[in-house]
Amino acid sequence: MTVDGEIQNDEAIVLRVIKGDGDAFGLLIDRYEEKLARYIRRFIQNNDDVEDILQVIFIKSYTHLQSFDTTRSFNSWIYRIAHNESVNYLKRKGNEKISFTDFFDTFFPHPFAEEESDSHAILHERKDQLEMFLNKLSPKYREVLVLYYYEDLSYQEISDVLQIPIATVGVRIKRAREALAKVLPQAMNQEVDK
Amino acid sequence: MTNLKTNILTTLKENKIHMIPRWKFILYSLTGIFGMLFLITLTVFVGSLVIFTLSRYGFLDMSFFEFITTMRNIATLPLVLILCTVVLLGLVEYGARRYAFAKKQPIMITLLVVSILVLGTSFLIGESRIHERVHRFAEEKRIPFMTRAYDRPFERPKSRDGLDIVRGVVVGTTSTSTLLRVFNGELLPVTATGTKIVPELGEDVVLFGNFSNGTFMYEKIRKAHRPPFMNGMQNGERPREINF
Repeated sequence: MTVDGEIQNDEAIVLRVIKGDGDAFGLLIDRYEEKLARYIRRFIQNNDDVEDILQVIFIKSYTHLQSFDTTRSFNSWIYRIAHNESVNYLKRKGNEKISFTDFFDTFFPHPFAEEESDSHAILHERKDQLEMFLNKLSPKYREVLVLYYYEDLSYQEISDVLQIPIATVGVRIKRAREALAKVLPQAMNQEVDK
Repeated sequence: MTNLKTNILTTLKENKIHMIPRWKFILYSLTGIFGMLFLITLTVFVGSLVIFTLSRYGFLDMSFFEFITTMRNIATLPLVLILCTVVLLGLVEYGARRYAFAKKQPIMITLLVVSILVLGTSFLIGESRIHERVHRFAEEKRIPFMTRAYDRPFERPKSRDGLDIVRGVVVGTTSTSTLLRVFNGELLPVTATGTKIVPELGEDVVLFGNFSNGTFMYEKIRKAHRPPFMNGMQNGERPREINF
C-alpha cells in the first residue's frame, strides 16, 4: 500500500497502527506471513502448528506494538518474536534435545567475524545446495543459515533476533558451513578455505 | 486475503485483543531498573560488610601463606556473609543478562564487568569508615539484626589446628601483658609467646596466636596497613600504662 505514491516502510506502518489504523496491520501481515511461515517450517513441519504459531506471533506483535522502538528494525523485532514462539512451541512439545544455543559459544568472546558480501550468483547457488542438506544440521546452525541465506538478514539483524553477540553469529555461520562441507565437499570446500 | 489475515483483522475489529498501553511497558522497565538498583545496592552492602569484617579482624593484612594457615580455623571467617555475597552477585549477573545490551555480550565479559564493579565498590566502602558509623548507629538505635551482623565474638571454636587472628590498637601496657582495643570496643589482654616483639602504645597491630583463659597468646605480630578504625583511641584518649 502506498501513501501519496510512496511505499511505506514497516516502521511507518507500525506508527499508523499505534495511532489507531487497525487496517494498516493487515499490510504487515501481508509482508511477513509468507516469510515467517517459511522460517518456522525449518523447525516445525506440521502445517496446522505452523498456522497456529503464526497467529500467535501476529497477535503478540499487535498487543506488544507499543513496546516497539520505531527507530529500530521491525524486521528483526518480529523475527525475534517468531524465534521465541518457535522455541516455546518445541519446548511444549517436549523436544528437549533440540538446542538453539551453545553455552561455550555465548560464554567466551570470539574475534569479530566479518560479514562476507556474497555475490548474487553465489548466494543463489548456495541456497539450492543448502536446501538439500539443511535438515541434517543442528537447529543452532540451521537457524543462522536460514536467517542469513533465506531471510536475507545481516549479521547485526541476526544478532538482534537471536540476542547473541555479532561475533558469535559469524562463528556459527562459519561452523555451519564447515558442517555442510562434510556433506557437500565439492561445492563448499572452496568457500570454507577462504 | 488469507484466512490468517482475515481472522486477525476480524479479531481486531471486534476488539477481542488490545494493544498493551505504552505506560505499562515503561512501568515494567522502571520496576526492573529499580529492582536491579536495589539488588546491586544490597550486594554492595553485603560485600562491603565482608571486606569490613575481614579488614577489622586482620585478614587483609596477611600474606597468602598466613591466610591459608588461618583458614584452617575456618569458623573465624564470615562464611554466611561470603555465601550471601556470592548468591547476590549471581542474581545481579542474571538480572543484568535480561537486558538486550548485556545479552549481546559474551557471558564472561558481563560476569567480569559485574564482578569488578560490584566487588570494587564493596572494597572501597568496606575499607572506609562507613560501616563503623552504621554499626554505631545500629547500636544507638538498637536495630537487632544489624548489630548482630557486626558483633562477632573473637574466641570462636576451632575446627582444626591453626592460629587465631586479632587486630587492635594498643591502649595499655604492663610489664607482662598488653591491652588491645578491638574494633567493636572490646578490651583484650594479649601476651607474647615465642616472640620478643611487643607492640607500642597507640600501635594498630595484627596478632596471630591462640586464646587461653581470656588472654590472647600471640606468636606473630605485624603492623596493620588498613585504615585505622574509629574505636582504636576514643574521644581524645591517650595511651597509658595500666594494671589489669
